[in-house]
Amino acid sequence: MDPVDQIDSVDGVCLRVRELLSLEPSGMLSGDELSEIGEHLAGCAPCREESALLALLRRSRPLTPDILLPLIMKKVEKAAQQRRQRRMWGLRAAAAVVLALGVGTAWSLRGPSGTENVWELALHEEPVATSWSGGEWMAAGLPVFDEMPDEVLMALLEEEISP
Amino acid sequence: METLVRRNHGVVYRFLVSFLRDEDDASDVAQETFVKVLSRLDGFRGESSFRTWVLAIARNEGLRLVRSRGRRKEDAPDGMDGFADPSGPVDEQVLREDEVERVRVVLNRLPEKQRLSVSLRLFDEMSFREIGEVIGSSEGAARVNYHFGIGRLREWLNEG
Repeated sequence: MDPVDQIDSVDGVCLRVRELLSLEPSGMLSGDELSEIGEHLAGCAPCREESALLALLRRSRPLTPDILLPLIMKKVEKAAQQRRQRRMWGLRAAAAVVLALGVGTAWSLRGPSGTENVWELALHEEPVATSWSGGEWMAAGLPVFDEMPDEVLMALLEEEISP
Repeated sequence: METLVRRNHGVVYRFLVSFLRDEDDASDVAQETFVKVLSRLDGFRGESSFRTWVLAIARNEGLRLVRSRGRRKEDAPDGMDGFADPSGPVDEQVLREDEVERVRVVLNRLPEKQRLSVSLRLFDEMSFREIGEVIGSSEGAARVNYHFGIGRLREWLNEG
């Protein structure tokens, strides 16, 4: 008999019981449903046949190899590690971009020519010359020679030794 | 993550054995599936059960393998080949193994959606709604596929 005809020939109660049978080992069926199955099977040979068929089919359930779980975990952990590394490289790249943008900004602020190396200038820039006034050379009424530039010292010396 | 894998690797493996009809391929694709699950975990919205979401990923990974090979493994050889000679003395265990092998061969002859509906229902007690989500059909279509598949299996096994 064609499978389609077989389904058509099954009445609603048989269909319901067969669908319950397909879930029988799951533990999801209520006590009432299990009783319903038992009572129906007692009087329905085709459904008993179906019950035996389902039991036979279930025995062909593929067994999961014991090695599969460790294999999956190894692969998953490796993938997670690679993701972490990629994320780290991403952060480094982002930091490099931020740094490059900062340098570029400093460069552009340096002046219209934009050709001078601001870092080099900063490193070699001379300190701003202190403008000395006579009074600042004196501490407690005494001249602080250590702080005086050479030309000032020479001038003082000339003044001192001049008649 | 290990709990998640531990709870779902069996159903994924069984689904892939049924889908790909090859245990080695199923094992390889199951591993790829969980790598994908890990990378897409943030995308799980809870619109379906976690199990069906994982199985949908498994199906996509299985399809990727199939496409990479150009086609799926050949249909299983004629299901009635290779059975033990019933005339010889065989112990019950051997008989049972042969019977199981025979059922697997016959199961593999079913069209894909019938095969998946039967295996997901009988091996993992999934609802027809869940089966429909996994195989890309409505709940009603999954139910019909299951019953048609059972009908065909009954017919073929009775022939044997």
